[in-house]
Formats: sequence, C-alpha cells, structure tokens
Amino acid sequence: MNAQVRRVAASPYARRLARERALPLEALRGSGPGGRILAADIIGYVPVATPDGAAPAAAPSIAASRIAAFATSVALGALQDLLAALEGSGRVFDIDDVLLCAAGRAFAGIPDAAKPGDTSVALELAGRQAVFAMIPETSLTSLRATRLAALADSRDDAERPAPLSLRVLPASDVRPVMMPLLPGRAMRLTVSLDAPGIHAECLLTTDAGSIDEAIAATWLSALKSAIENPLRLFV
Amino acid sequence: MAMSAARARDDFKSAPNLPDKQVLLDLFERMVLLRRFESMAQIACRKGETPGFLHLYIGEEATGVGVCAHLRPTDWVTSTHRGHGHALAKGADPGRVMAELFGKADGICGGRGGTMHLYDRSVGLFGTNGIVAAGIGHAVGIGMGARQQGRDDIGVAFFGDGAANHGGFHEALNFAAVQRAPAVFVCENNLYATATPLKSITLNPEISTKAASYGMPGVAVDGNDVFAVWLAMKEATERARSGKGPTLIEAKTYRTVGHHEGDPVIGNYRTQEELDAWIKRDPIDMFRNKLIEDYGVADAEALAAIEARIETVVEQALAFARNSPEPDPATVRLHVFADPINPPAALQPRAVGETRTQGWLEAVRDGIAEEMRADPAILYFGEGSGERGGSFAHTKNLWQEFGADRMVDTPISEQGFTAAAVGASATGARTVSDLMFADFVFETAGQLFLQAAKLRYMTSGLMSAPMVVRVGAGALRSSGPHHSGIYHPVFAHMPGLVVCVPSTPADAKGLMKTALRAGDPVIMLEPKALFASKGEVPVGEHYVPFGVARIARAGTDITIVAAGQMVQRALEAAEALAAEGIESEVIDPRTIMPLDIDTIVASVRKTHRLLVVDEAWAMCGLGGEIAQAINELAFDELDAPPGRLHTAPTSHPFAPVLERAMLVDAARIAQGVREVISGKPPVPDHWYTVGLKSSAPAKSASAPAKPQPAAPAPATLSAGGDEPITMPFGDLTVSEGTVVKWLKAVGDAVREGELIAEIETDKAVVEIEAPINGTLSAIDQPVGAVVPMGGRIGGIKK
Repeated sequence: MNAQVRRVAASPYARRLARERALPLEALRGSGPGGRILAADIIGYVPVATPDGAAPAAAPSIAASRIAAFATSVALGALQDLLAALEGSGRVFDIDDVLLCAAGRAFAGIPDAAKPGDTSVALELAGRQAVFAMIPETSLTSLRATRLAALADSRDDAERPAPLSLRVLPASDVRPVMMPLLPGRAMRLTVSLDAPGIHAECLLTTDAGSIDEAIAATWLSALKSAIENPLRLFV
Repeated sequence: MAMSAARARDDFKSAPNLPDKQVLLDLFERMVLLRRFESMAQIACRKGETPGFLHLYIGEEATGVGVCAHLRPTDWVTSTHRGHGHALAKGADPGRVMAELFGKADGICGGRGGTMHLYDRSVGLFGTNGIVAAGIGHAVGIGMGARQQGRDDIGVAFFGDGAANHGGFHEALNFAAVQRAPAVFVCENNLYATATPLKSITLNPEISTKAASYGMPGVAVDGNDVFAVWLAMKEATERARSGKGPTLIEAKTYRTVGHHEGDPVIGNYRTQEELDAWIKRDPIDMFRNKLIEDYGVADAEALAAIEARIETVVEQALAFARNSPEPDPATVRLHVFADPINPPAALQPRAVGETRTQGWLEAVRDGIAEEMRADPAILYFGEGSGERGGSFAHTKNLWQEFGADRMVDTPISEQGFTAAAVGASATGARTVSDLMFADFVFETAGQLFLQAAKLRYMTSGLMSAPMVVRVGAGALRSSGPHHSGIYHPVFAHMPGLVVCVPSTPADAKGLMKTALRAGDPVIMLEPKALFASKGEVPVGEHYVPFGVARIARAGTDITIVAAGQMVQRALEAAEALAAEGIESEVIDPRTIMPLDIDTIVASVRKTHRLLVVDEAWAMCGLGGEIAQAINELAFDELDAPPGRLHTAPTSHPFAPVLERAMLVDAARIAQGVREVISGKPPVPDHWYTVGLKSSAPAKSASAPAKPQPAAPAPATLSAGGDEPITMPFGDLTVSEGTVVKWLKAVGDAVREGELIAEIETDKAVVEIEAPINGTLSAIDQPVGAVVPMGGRIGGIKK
C-alpha cells in the first residue's frame, strides 16, 4: 500500500455508482460531511468541457426507435419449496401465476412520478394476449382463477392498454438475448425457465424513449426480489 | 394432613398386603438394572468415554423404581440432574440412554441432550434436568393438560432435598393443590444439596410436613425400601388419577457415590461412619434378603439368574453406545425452531375481505376466543385473568365462555404456572401464560429461557413447548421502573423463542392466532400504550405469519425501521418530514424473531439510508443488530452511515417530565432522519465510558425537553365559572369512557359526593360523584357520548 495515496471519502453507494460509470473518484467533489462523496455527486456529475471546446457529436437527426434490454437470473428454489408446501395443503399454483403476480407487484416499487398510469400486465398466449388489471391487493388465488378463465376463453386483449407484456418460454437450452417490443407495449418481459426449474432467466426489453433506464432496472430488480422471497406474494 | 410418619419396614413383615410375586421380582430386576447400568457408565466416565458431567443415582434406586412401577407409558415423570435411574425406571431403552451419555447419534435425544437432559416421549420421560426444581411445575401442567384432554394420566416430579427450599417447589405445590392437579411430588431426600447438609439450610428438615402448608397430604417413607416406596406411591397414584389431587412423598435415602463422578465420595461434608451405615442399608441388598428370607418368593439362585440377565443387557447397552456414530456436525443448526416456523394456517393465501373497526384488546380477545373454540386443548393461565377478566380487561368474557377449568386464575406464582404451561404444552395441550407485565417475565425467566426455548433443541426435535407468553409491554404514562419495560432484544437473544411486537389491532390479533397454532414458545409483547388504540381488523380467520414485515409507509429517501408503539411515532415523523421534501419508508418488522431482514435490505436498496428506532435500549440492541446486517448484506447501497435511536439508557423514571426526556418521540425521529441524511447520524452514548475518562465533557445528548400533552387535556374551568364534572382518569390502559346514565337533570340540586352519572370504560362501570354542593347547571355530554379521560361532561353551579 502506498501511504502517500490520499484516502478519498465516499459512501459505499457512491463508490458503487462511480465504479459502474467508470468515473474516477479523484475527479469528483464530495458534498457530504468532510467532503465525503455521495451518490448525488455521482448522479449529478457533468464532465468538464474538452479544451478545444468541441461540442459533443450531434444526435442523429432521425428519431430512431431505441430499445434497451436488461437481464437477470432469478433463483426459483424458495418458490418451488413454497409451491410444493402449498400443494401439500391442497393449494395449487403454477409458476405463471406467480410471475404474473410478481410482475404486477414490481410496479409498486417504482417512484410514483415515473410509474405508468396503468400497471396492467398482458400475458402472451398462443397468438393472442390476455390483459390482467393488477391491483396490489389482488390475492394469488383470485389471480389464478382469472388466468385460468382467460385460458379457457379465446378473447384477444392485444388492443387493451398495458405497459408490459409477459412471455413465458418453455424450458430449453437456448434462450433469446433480445426480443422486440409488441405494439403498444413499452416493456416486454421474456422468461426462460431452465430444465430443472431451478432458475428463470428474465429478459426485460423496454422502449428507452419512454422508460428510464434506472426505472427499468429497478423494476426488474423488484421482480427478482419478489420471486426469490416469495412469501410476501402469498400474504 | 400427613398420612403417617415414616412407614417402618416391619409394617408388612407379615405381608398381608404383598402384591403378586412377579411385581416384587420386577422391582428387584429394575433396581439391578439401574445399579449395573450406572456402574458401567461410571467406568466409561473414568475412561473418558462420556463427555461432560455424570451425576450417579447409586444408592437411591429403590425410590425411582418403587415410584415408576405404578406408572403407564402415558404418564410422565420429570426428573433431576441425577436422573439416569428415573429414565430407566420409566422404561427408556438402556442402549439408547447409554448412547446419549456418550453423546452419540443413536442416543434418545440424538446426542443434543446428554446426561442431564434425557427426554423420551415414547415412555413418558419429560426429562432429566440441569436446573434444580425446574421440573416440579412441569408435572403439574402435565397432569392438568391430560385432564383437559380427557385422560387420567398423571405427572410425577422427582426432585431432591435441595429443591425443597427453592421457589419452584413452593409455587408448584401450591398451584397443584389449589387446582387438584393429577400429580405426585417425590422428594428424594439424600440429606445433601450437593455438599450442603439439609439441616443447615432449613429449620424444618422434615420435608413431607411442608405439604401441610398447601393443604395436601405429605408422607415420609424409607427411600431405600423399595416396597415402602411402592406402597406410598400406590396410594398417591390412586389419589391423583381419581381427581383427589396431588400428594407429596418424601423418600429418605442416600447416594453412596460423590455428587458427580470425580467428586470425592465423602469429601469434607460426610463421614466414613455415615457412609458405612447407609451402605449397610443398600436398597438392593436389603430387598434381596427380604425376597428370600421374609417373603420367601425367590431363592438366591433365582435372583442371581436375574442379575446375570441384566449384566448381559447392560453389556449390550455399552456396546451399542460405543458403536453408535457421532452426530453429523452439519446438523448442528437443526431443531431450533419448527420447520417451517409458521403453522399452515398462517401461510394460507390471504383472502381480501371485510374489515371492521376494533379496539386492540377486543381484537386480541376475539382471536384467543376463536382459537379456544377451535382447539379444546388450549389452557389459559394468568393472574386475575379468570372471572375478573384481566387487569387490562384483556380477557374480558373469556372466563364466562370457557369456564374456570380453561381460564385458570392463578396465584402470583409466575414460575409455578409458567412451568405448568411448559409441561402442559409439551404433552398435547397448548397454553397461554399471562404474566401481566413484561417486567414480570423475569420472575420466571428460567422456565422460558432454559426450559421452553431449549426443549426442541435438547430433544433433537422430538418435543417442543408450543406456548404463548402474553404480557403488556413498554412505557405508558408513568408506569414506573417496574411496569414499563419491553425487553424484546433480551428474548430475541435466546435461540428457540419467537418474539412478537405488534403495532396494530389487526396484527396483534393475527399474530396471537398464529402463535396459538405455532410449534414453538412465543413471547407476545403487546404494547400497553396501544391497548386503547383502534384499527381496521379483518373479519373472520386472520393470521399474520411470523417473519414478514409490514411496509407501514412507502418512501424513497430513507428507511425507518420501527416496531410496536414506535411505528406510530415514526409515521408522525414521516409526515412532518414529507413537508420538507423527505419521503421516509417505515418498515414495521412485526416479529423481532424471526426478523424479516430481507424486507429491510430491499428498502435500503431503494432509499440508501437507514434509521432504526426502537423502544428497547441500545446496548446490544436492535439498532446495532440491523445496522450491522445492512453492512453485511447491502454495504454498497449505503449513502450514509446507518443511525439508531433508542430509549435512553436508564430505568423508566416516574415523573412525567423525566419519562418524556427518556423516550423517543416523533420530533427526535425527524431530527434523527435529518442527521442521517446529512451524513452525520445521531451518536448514542449508552456505553457509559464517559465517567472513565479524566475530563468528562458534559453531554447534551438529550433533545430539549418540549412541553407536550401526555394525555387528553384536562377540562378547564368553563367561562360560566361553574365547577366542571369530568370523566375521571382511571386505569393507564383506558383512554376514554361512554356516558351510560345521568341520574340528575339540569336544575337539580346536588350534594358533594352524591351520585350524578355513570360512565362505562372497557374495564368497569364508574360512578361519578358531584364534586361540590350546588345545582347541576349543564350536561355537556349526553348518554352514549364517548369522552376522553379528563374531558368535561357537565358542570355544577354553587
């Protein structure tokens, strides 16, 4: 260790944000006590203009459709144990019920200002969609009943508004790394289950024009947390 | 009351009352088994094969054998640190008992219990016990639980002369007697409590006579004469089974070995002469002679054949123990709690349904009544919680519905009836031990920490104590140093205890219902300050699972963790902070153990800041616990050091102004939030190191005392100058009353002290007297009006 190196005071969260953005802490001014660098100092960081004063490259003049994608791997162990325990007591739920419920609940974690007005979820079925209005209080039991009813009829809700569509792929060794958005849906969640049912690979594609990157990441992280700590979904 | 003095051996020499020959031979065989088993264990201990202590029963075999000969496998015995003999006499398998002494996987408790903690449900062995007198009360509850379940099984407690001067003995005997409990108390008086002579620690060494204090029969017998013990126990067993109540048997006996293996046989407290005299009265030798010479039921060869057979049994037991594997170290964390910790009812998906507004106490009473209707084996033990309906009206109407056999009014014997609650709950019943105030738990702390909490673990999951300890907890308007504590970190420290601190009537009811179906002891700490609160409570079956926090308020800027009455304070602070643009998320963990750390971590991932607010003290407390958990689980999420606010590190003072200076309020929480957000959390001062430093600076840690109404404002004189008639201040847990009757009309003359109105609170009807002579000049609150304490209801003009 070089004793001459000055220790930069930074909160752990600020260090993480700087790491993710490849910003050197030494280049930053801290606004916290004793000059401690805080998260706000990273988020509000504006690079100093280059010496020749060249303006940054102009944005493309044509408004191209911009798509962002986020992926996460979700452990299903706790959920599978809970489903098995409930099945033992005569209450059967499918993983589709849980995904639907968790997708709905994940909207609850988004700050109100950024939350879509409508938090319905469109479940992608063969050649059609079924839209579920997600109210936080909806119990899993009634959600499952609604889903089974939707499977039984043949209506197509493709025209009904919903910010998110959900597609559950059958277990396979091959999974998509990009999926197009469906018309009218700003978000699409594609879930690929592995064969033993131990992990779910979740791919979230979003319209970067209307969904902020941080919000999308927050949403996906809330979904992961809800599935990995499933007890909350059942109470 | 005493049946007799010591029964002389000569009483039955003519043997008109001799039982069947086989009964006598079985007594002999069982005594030989105990002796040979322990002689083998003694050698194994000297070789270093048995870990830990070994307290041998050698010399006292006649007592255990004579007593247990009358018992069925469905009767239970509780025992002592010197209990191998009781285990074998009650029928436990010698090989598996020996393996337990060796700490092996095939031991009767899987190696978790050992010599002083031997339990066997299959033969009714409640346990040898490392705590003197702890098992006496268990036997009382065992008998009462069996009676409630419609069986005539009994509980039998073995204990030594040392226990006869312990509160556990006196509390248990008194409670058993007044309850006519189907129980027998067997004192094995071997003259020394470890090395302390009985005659030096009591002026009444005749232990059997102590039974008279409690109105039960007491009988002393020669504890070295197995047939004398057998006869005394025969009568005591019949009394207990037939509902006539308990009996105290004092068996006078002697251990001819040291207190424990390795301790000198004589030491500096016994003489060689005394030892030799007792060895001449060896119970096995005496009985062998009697069988041959007095009773003539066997000859020497027949008895020698029995002894040879037992020798083989014991050798096989030793071989079994030696060959048994060690327990798997990977299993060390098993059997602390039920797995899953929540009962199935608490895991059912929640049905969104109707709610209604209910007071706290009513909601919890409903929950208890629903569970008592569903499960006839629930017994409720408490001081004044019977016909009187409890000191807080917290059991109102339950006695009327469930009767005195289930709503058991107890003496002020926390240790005695909590021990009974442990015994009953572990043998098929379920119990509530209502201790009134959390502070009083310490009167029976050993039963909770050392018995109930450890039972599942000691038995490798084969037994447990599914009981609820119900107490009013926490500070409330000058309740003072002995009635204000909450202590949840103390309980949560002990592996095996579930600890609940609800903050709403709905959660209080839901957690109580879950607790009454759970598999483990639950400490239910109901904040007294919330007894007068109301809230929406789901109608019908409503269970709140252990270990699932409630997000009491969503927010983005800081996470505040608070439980019990601190939740409301935190919500008030959050509202004040919202006006400053700070959005706080308030997490109510609802149960301190299990602790839903995941929900707290998820919140901190969102807010990046944490303040823990807790009514208990800071030292080794919840603030440090949660803050460190965040360091471990979410360090990279922190944008500021976590903060903690606890009740000041003092006892609870009586004076209201001092009490306010001690407690955390909404203003302090708001200030704490601002400080965490500014990156400088409040620094506590509970380490008491200031006085150790040479120049201790005067600290001004406490927030400026702000005048604050402690209760609804007292009525002030009205403008008309009349004398106010007020709703009187009454019980601390009552905040309001309803006017039920006016006995006078406006204009009537009244005399000082005359009854003029009646008010009904949750606990009682209160008569209101005229404060002065005069004329009733105003009725401000009509019949049916709900008035806060201290509120004006009318006036009198002179």
